Amino acid sequence: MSRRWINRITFLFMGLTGLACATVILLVALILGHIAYHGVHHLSWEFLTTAPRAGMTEGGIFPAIFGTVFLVLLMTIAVVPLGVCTAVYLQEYAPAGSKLVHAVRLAIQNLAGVPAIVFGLFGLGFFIEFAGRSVDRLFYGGQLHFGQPAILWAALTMALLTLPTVVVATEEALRVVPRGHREAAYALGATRWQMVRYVLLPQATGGILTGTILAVSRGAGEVAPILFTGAAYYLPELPRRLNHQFMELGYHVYVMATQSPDVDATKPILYATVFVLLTLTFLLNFSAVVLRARIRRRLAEGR
Amino acid sequence: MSRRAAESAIEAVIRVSASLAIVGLVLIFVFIGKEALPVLLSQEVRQEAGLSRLFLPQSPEPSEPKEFAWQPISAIPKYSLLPLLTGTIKATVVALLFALPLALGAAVFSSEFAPSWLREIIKPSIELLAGIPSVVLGFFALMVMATYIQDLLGLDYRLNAINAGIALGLAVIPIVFTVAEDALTAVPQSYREGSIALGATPWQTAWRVVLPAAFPGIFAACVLGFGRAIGETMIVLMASGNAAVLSLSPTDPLRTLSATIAAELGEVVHGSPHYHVLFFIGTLLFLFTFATNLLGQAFVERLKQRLSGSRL
Amino acid sequence: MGISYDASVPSPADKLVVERLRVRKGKNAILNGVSLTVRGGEILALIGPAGSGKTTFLRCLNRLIDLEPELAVEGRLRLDGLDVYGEGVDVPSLRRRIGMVFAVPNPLPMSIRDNLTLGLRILGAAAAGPPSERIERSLKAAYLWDEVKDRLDDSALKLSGGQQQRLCLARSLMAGPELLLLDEPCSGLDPISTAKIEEALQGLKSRISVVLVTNNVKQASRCSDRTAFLLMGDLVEMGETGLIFTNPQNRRTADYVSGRFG
Repeated sequence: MSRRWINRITFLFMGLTGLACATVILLVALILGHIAYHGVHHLSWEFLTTAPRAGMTEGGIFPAIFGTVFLVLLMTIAVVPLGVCTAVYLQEYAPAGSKLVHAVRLAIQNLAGVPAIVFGLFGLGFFIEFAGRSVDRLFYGGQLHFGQPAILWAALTMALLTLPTVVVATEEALRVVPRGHREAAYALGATRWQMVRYVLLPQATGGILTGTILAVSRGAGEVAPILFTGAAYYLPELPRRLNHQFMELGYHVYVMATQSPDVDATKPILYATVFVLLTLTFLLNFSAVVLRARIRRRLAEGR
Repeated sequence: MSRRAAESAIEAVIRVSASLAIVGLVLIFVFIGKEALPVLLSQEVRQEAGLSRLFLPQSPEPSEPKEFAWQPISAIPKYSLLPLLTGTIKATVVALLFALPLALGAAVFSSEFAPSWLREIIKPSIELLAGIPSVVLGFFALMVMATYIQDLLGLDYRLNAINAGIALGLAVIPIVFTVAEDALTAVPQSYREGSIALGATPWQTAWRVVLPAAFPGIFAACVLGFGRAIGETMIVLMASGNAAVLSLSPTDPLRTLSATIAAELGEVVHGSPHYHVLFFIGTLLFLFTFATNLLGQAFVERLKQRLSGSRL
Repeated sequence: MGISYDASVPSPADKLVVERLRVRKGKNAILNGVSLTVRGGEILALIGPAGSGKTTFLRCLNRLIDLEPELAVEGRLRLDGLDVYGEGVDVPSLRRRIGMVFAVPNPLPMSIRDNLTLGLRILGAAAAGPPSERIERSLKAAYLWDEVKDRLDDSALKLSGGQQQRLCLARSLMAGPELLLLDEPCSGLDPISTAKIEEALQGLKSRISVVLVTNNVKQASRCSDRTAFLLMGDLVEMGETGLIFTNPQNRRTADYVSGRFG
């Protein structure tokens, strides 16, 4: 092939792939810019701190923010200890190459690929119908308390969904601890748990935090799992108990966008809500990225 | 409690926690499958919504021609999965046609041609995209993209396969990009250097050396993207029109399997055939994504083995 | 099991008895039935070329070898009569009686003080004597006290390589071990740090038994009371250090100590 042709094709190839790259970046900028542009001006202190009025055409979205935070808090309490224990098991307690390790790893990887709506079905079929009804039968004499959509079940469903995120991040953090540190602890007479507690976990805290933040971001953004496990469009009160339903930012966007009787009137609130949701997930992801970068830098220079 | 007993107790707690992951996965399958079984086993459910009714054409009245229709809420309930399957496939195909060239092209550019400062812009942008919740993408498609596309192409329906497909593609791009780019950067620099030393240009190197070496990983990226597209719910729920029509045209609205569950589970009667069919659909989705996930992982394993020299 | 930090005059009886220690990885033998004894209050040097199994031998003594399940260990080890590999031995308790200093200094990413007190925290129950006294004694024994006494709360990672290794030595002394194992502790250290560590060992030997694995033949002849020569998993010769170096019985020993191979 002649040199000129080769150069032309090189240029073409680079150009095409570069164009693909630019297109993606442009699309992202477009979406974010559009939402920011239309959402920003409706933001106000009142918007963030009051409840909606007049069929979602006035007022604010405080209950949705509260519900999202409450949901994510419960989810974190459930998923972080579970995820950290699982990761510690995989890295420290499991005999190398054992069948259980293989199975747990496979389970984690596959959990990560299960569609969000299937989690929602599971939340309904297991947590609400089975666990909730059982609790009602055992503790409330059959009265309906927990056998219905509730923030507790939604949070547990989300915890299962985000479990892989926490496990993977924690495992990474544990793996990076040098072997010499472990041996130093053992040589001093530490039991395995003492070694994990005094040497590994303190050093893995950054990674665990990163994983938690990513899980929280996912928990705040996914809507499909909470469609039937506890989210509601309008509630007169904030959820105060574990078996209450809750309003949530993502769910609010979904319902408002698809089922609002007067689209134009709710548009400003809708855009502003989307903006708040985006800002929330963006801030969370950003802090996770910054944290991860800081950990990497400290690893590179400290050791 | 003596030290040894405490240590054993802690170890037990850790072991049990770790098993919960497996337990969770198994429970998901069990509890969804449990509610789906009546479709296969229960006499009365099979009457209305057995396998033949789900997959084979049915004639609503003896005199009328056979058709595939999904109308669970009607005088004569119809449960054909075909419209939903074609809807899912249509949306996925459009999504992949849109996402794969962009994501793979961007991955190749990022790993082979882009200077490192540019890479510092590309990767965060992709991560930004990955961080956008799917409900926001669906919102964007519903409010903005649909109008734009309708005007651009002069379409009848505002919400259709193209609209949903492109939005779905946006959700798929980050996964495909990340896995493909990891695969490409995993190819050792020595492969490239060897090729250049023989006189090849960067594109020749990329095309003939790097891409073939990273192929298992790139294939895995596509498989994972495919799996994600199949299972995604919110985007199609908001952007596709949600009409369960059997049509091959990309300009018609559609309804996917996942969106069907989302749209109808809220109003269904517990224990009715409709209820069980929805769980049946959920089981199908679960099994399918499980399979694609295993396939994707198998290919990532293959890539690792290939690059470490233990397999060609 | 009270471990008194200030042990009284050591008995001349054998501290550690090793009988036919054999370590295999699959079909390959790493140690071929090594038998020796470590006396109380002595420094025993273990010399030999790389790959002879010296480190493996050392790791058998405090059962750190357990961390490598692919290695098969046979033989008898007795620490003061206790069968180290016996049924029902509490390995963490065993390891607390034995201190270890590794070839590469491994201070933990904490303050100097926290590094030192880690052993006490592991012990759990309040060990005899307030921590600060022990810290001072251990650091003095490791010839590090003067250099760090004003910055005990600084990060241990800020110390130089030689200081870090002396910190690791001090750390291993905190719980008052009866036996100290050192695996090529001075490899890569500057001569001053090396000299300080060797001095520290001399100061310790009246109270503790020391097994010192070293690649440096001259260091062995400087520091130790007795020397054992390990070659390819076999114990070739062992005896008084002076004799091993001036009048070895075995020709391979003579070749190694005179530097004809290594």
